[in-house]
Amino acid sequence: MNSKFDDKKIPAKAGLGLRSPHYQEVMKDNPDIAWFEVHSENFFAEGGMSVFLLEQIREKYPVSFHGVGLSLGASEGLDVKHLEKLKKLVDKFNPGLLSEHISWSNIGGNTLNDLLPLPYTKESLACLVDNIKHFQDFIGRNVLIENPSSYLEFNESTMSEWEFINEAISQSGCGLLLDVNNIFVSCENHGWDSKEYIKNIPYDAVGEIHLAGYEVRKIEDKSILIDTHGERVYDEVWELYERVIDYTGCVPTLIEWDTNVPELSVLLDEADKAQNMLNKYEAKNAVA
Amino acid sequence: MPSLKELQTAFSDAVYDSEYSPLSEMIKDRVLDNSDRIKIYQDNVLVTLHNTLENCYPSVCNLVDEQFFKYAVNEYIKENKPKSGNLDDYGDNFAEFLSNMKELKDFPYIEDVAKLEWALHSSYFAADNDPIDRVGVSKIAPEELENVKFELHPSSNLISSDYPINKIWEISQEGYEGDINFDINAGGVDILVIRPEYKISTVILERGEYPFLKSLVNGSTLGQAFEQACSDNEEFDIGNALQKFILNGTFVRFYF
Repeated sequence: MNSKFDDKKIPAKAGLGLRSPHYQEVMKDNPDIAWFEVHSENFFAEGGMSVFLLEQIREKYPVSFHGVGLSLGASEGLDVKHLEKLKKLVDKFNPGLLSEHISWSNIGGNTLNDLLPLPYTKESLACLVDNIKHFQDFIGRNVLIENPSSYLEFNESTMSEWEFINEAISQSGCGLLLDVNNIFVSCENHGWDSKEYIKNIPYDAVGEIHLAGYEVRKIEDKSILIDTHGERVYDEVWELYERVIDYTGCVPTLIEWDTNVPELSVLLDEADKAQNMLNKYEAKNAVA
Repeated sequence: MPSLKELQTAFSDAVYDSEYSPLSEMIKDRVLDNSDRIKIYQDNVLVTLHNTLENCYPSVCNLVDEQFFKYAVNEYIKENKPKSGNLDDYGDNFAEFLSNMKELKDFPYIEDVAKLEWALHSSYFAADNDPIDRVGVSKIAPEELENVKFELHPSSNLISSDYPINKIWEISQEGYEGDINFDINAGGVDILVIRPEYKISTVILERGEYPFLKSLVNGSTLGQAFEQACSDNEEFDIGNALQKFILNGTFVRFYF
């Protein structure tokens, strides 16, 4: 790797997902935030303004890359062109962390541009593990995979989501990006017990935490939680986060906001809230 | 038990072709109807694609109105499913698709406006390049000039339209407050879209410049490009043209 950027590790503090409406403001005002995360695909451009801006931001802040389009759960294996672009980006910017999702989007040469759920079977586990290994070998570094949020469950699943994640991580040697909002959303949607879920997380593997807001969607007299990243983090999710960091200790924690993106100050406020919880954990453990 | 590939194929058929049954049978029946669950994913994917094309083609959307644009995008998606996990790649042949829509046959300029919008979009994502070695160009021996070739900036795109699409594009911009009338028979326009550094510019070309640049793009020598330019404009001033395209960053390299 010949990156001109030094190894800026992602600190175990609160960070923000950086989206295009805030690029200019961040460049100009250098807001007080420990790190930023960007969507890898937003910087696949070969040149131009977006790449230039990321270079400037990377000079000042640790940056993490979070991919949304690799399709690690694809039964047909990984899209090599997409992998090559990711590798070029990683080699150039030397990000502090690199992550993807436990989901799929490619089938039959087509892409469904979303994070689609996998059935929790031996076959899909083997496929995911193969793809993660391929990804890690190709990029030449370890990656984090994110637990999904979902709106349906498959009949053929033979294991729980946490069993599936534990297996994927131990078999591939990758790390876990623990999305606490996703745990809450999936548990509510499928009637799973979130206490049991968080008891069964491979905490040694957690390299990062995500927090975001969901939306409650009414369908006739029923409702379902949609992972929109378009709201403040809900209180129940903050509570779950507090319990999670009791297990993980201080971990880089990201506020994500992707739809109806508000003023940067709102995001900074959310990040402060996460930072306060991390501080509280530290203080508590310092006393103990 | 379906294989993973069969399950993923069923998912794709549900999202892109509204064939819900095979997928529905694979889903646990709980509280919410399976079709409602599938529809959440279908809507997510389709809304994402709609937003992607609306962001890429805002002028076309304003020109045909939002209702028709939605219909056109729906039809487009049926025939052009995304092939990449990077949405910036999506919509490359939308202009061609629009040109074949029978509803738009009386609006032939829409295709060219779409081409212009795709050119602006792809110019944004193109590679950077250092400016041409001007000193080197000035040292080319006069007798060698007709054999020199020029490489254009990776962000450059050439568009030739029989309609005043620069004007049409301008008035269809969000927030435009001037006169919105235009005469589609007011004459065509040749445009060079280029992003020499970080700002994209649209250069309205003078007569002869389009065939001149087009033949250079295709690898012709300056002599051959000059001939092409003259067949369009007998008074084509090659000295002016060279200076213009060197100064504005269109030419990034010369070679023989």
